Amino acid sequence: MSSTSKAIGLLTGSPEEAPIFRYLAGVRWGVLGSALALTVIGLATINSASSELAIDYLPRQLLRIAIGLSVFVIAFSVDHQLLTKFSLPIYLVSLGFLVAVLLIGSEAGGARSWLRIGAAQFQPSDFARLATVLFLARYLAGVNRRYMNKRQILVVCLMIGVPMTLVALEPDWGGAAMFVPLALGMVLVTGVRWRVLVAGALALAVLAVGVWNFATLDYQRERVKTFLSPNSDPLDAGYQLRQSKIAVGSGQFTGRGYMQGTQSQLRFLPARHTDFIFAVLAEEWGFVGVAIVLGLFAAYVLNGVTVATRARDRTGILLVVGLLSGIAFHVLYNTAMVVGLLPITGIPLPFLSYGGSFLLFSFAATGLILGVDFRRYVNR
Amino acid sequence: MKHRLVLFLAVLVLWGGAISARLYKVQVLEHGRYADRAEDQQHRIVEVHPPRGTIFDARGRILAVSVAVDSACVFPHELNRHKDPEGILRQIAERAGVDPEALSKRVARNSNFAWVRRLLEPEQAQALRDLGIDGLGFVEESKRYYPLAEIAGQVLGFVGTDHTGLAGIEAQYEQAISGTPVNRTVIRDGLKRRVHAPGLSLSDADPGADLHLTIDSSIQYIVERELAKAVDLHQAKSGTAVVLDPKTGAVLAMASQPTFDPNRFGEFERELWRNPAIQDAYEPGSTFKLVTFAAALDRDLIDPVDVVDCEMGLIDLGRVEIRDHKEFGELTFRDVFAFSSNVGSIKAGLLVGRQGLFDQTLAFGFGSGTGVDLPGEAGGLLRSAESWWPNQEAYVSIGQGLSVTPLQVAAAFAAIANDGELVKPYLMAEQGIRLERRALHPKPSVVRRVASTSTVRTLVRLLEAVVEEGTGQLAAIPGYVVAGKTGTAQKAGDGGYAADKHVASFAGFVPSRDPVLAAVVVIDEPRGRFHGGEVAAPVFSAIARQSLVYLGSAPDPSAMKRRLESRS
Repeated sequence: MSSTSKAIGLLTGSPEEAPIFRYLAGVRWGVLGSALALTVIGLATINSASSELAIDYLPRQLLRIAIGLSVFVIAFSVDHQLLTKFSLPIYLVSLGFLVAVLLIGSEAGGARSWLRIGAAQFQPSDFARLATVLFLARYLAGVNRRYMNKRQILVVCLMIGVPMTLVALEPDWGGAAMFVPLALGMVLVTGVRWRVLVAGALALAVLAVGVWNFATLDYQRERVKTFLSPNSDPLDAGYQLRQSKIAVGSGQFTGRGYMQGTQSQLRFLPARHTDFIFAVLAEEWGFVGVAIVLGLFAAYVLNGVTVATRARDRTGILLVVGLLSGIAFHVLYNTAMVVGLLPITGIPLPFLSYGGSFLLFSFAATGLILGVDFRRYVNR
Repeated sequence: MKHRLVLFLAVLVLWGGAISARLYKVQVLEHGRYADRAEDQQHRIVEVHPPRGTIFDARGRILAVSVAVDSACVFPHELNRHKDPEGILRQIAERAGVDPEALSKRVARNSNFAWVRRLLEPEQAQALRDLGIDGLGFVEESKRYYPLAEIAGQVLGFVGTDHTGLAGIEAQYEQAISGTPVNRTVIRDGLKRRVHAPGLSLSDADPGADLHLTIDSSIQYIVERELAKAVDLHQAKSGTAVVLDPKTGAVLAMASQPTFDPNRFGEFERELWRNPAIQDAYEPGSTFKLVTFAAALDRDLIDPVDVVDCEMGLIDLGRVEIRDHKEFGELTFRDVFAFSSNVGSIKAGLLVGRQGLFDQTLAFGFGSGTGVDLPGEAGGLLRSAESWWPNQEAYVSIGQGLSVTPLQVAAAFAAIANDGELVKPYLMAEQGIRLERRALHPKPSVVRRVASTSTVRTLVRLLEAVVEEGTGQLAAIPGYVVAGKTGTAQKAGDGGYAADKHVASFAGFVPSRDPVLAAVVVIDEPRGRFHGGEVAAPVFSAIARQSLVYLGSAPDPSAMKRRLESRS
């Protein structure tokens, strides 16, 4: 099979050559199933959370989901092996976007993180995350040792360090930090000595302290202080966290009911349709609702891990692991921040939060993961 | 690679487990705490004022009414979502009729809420609504409206921004008219706006009672117009008048000029918020001779036809001398009264004596408030007889050395008009909703008899003589017999009486034999002419004449006849 026909995968090959439909049936559709279920729950929750707002967010989110599904189909159709071959130019293009956003990006909430192309807006950092995962997968697939050596570790640090620095310059420290779990999952799977991990953790801690002292903006520092003592300033900084916890706590076991969440309907909770949509869900559907959503995320990750375990090519495994850890860390960070376990930063909840570019990342990731599974007998 | 994947998965599961545990703790175990906090910030107990009762005049015309009007406010942080918040603010300011600069300053001060303008005119509110801007809100507030503006302003008083009556009837009947405020739970949103008030109907709140006053706004208008004319004509400091129904004590009109408009009370000097008819005591002067003569006649000490030597206008009391306004020689007591001789009146007073004069003064209701249903009534100054200085009885005989309020004088004359029975003046005739348009129930509350009926009959004749041929001729009304008395008092200045400051007054009732109204007119510090007969009597005549026509009182045939006879 030529590389071109391999690349098209789904579209080529007669039934005699490749039993496509059998392969298709064998794919871990649970990944897509849970993703779609979460998307539908997200739509319903956005509808409730934005019902008091002047703009109707539902049609916009529907449009984004449509685009997301097309991205999924493309990501599923294109062979990841081919994609990783072009990962260096993709990576460089994404860095170009990150530089562009620093120069001509539009500002929101104190950070220059959005790039406007025509009527559409997107966050180049989401695209950069995808490109970095592809690039890392290609590089780490070539590491043929039980444990990575110093040079290799340094290369990995550089590969994530450049986009991280650019995102941090926006400044978006939360967005920058989310590059770490992508690499961490992949490095862990590639093989790394414990002492390197410990050293890395220490380095990160030192970096965090340095950032805290010299490079953070007031509003960012406030957020962390607020996290440490949420009731210190009842009017401003702690407001978001307090309202979020009140919303979550109001939910009880079965919630107040759909569209009945007073915290969001009465506009107490800011960012309720975006980063804090989990709090709205928790208030309206209670512990049962959040347990279902977390269960769906667990199903997504577990199905994805199954894909990783049965894949035979290193590139595919690394790609799946990188994408899964990216999504999983978003989920874990977002939910932890909503219940006050971690400081507040702009990390959306995959598939549920209103917003375009991270949704596209999530659907692209889903497509790539299932693409790896689909081609598990082809790519070795 | 697989065992590393398991390790990776284990980290995720642990973390997810920690979050789930936290969620369970916050949502289920600590639910009560957070639910309380939610309710705490979403619910507010507010005191809701039921609408204030309406005040009607004697004929059911509205004197004061509460209307629901809109107040406009903006929520700046919502406004800032618009493309051009400054331009929108300018538009809002223009339609609300406020200074755009001042509005931007208010908006800059508070990002959550700022008033645009409170208590808007309906057209302004509509114009603002037509803008249809997100971030512009309306709050319904109650505004007290006085349709007749200045008319009866000092009687009605006004209502402050806290919905409390601060003067006049509004303060006197605050309890009844304001109703009972009720506590209601109101749901507020995160922008501190009131979004929904469950069960915020006022149906079970105790609404404010309506008040029906004895004031007749037509007579009130006549009084205010005539007072204003007189104050203007004589360039006086002020003018005050009270009109009573002598048989019931109902206050038909009570007014002063200058006055204020309770709709815009803040724009007037505080001094004008007072009600001089009950709050400003003055030395009555000759109108008080009514009391002196009542005392002397009731004690059979004088007879109208007795002749008294008026000493050519000067009486020597030992240490002091009191002058008359004219050099009267020998006069009957009838003429002493009609021409208001001080010397003759003092002689009558001296016959009565200190205690007798004091008792009679008290009997007429002087020295303490009349008990009228208005706040802040003054009692006037009257020292007890034992503490009078030497010769004070001489001064009291001619209405100096004590002070009275216009309402007290009106009530005293009304007592003579009412066959000698003093009745308590009152303003509030009925409280609550009137189901039928019927005449208000008169409810005279008799205080006491001030003199015997024969004394009263004599006094009426003396009062008639004042208008027919004495000092009060300008008080006459064609077709009616007027009974009354003029008064001209020097005002007390520094260390004695000021020669150039006078209070000119006239008190009386009409028709003299079957009185429909009793009234007093007091003009304070007129310039130029200053005699009560010249300054106040014509005002009495104008007020009484128009009021009689308005009240439909038929002219007196005997008065017509007497007038014709005097011409022939």
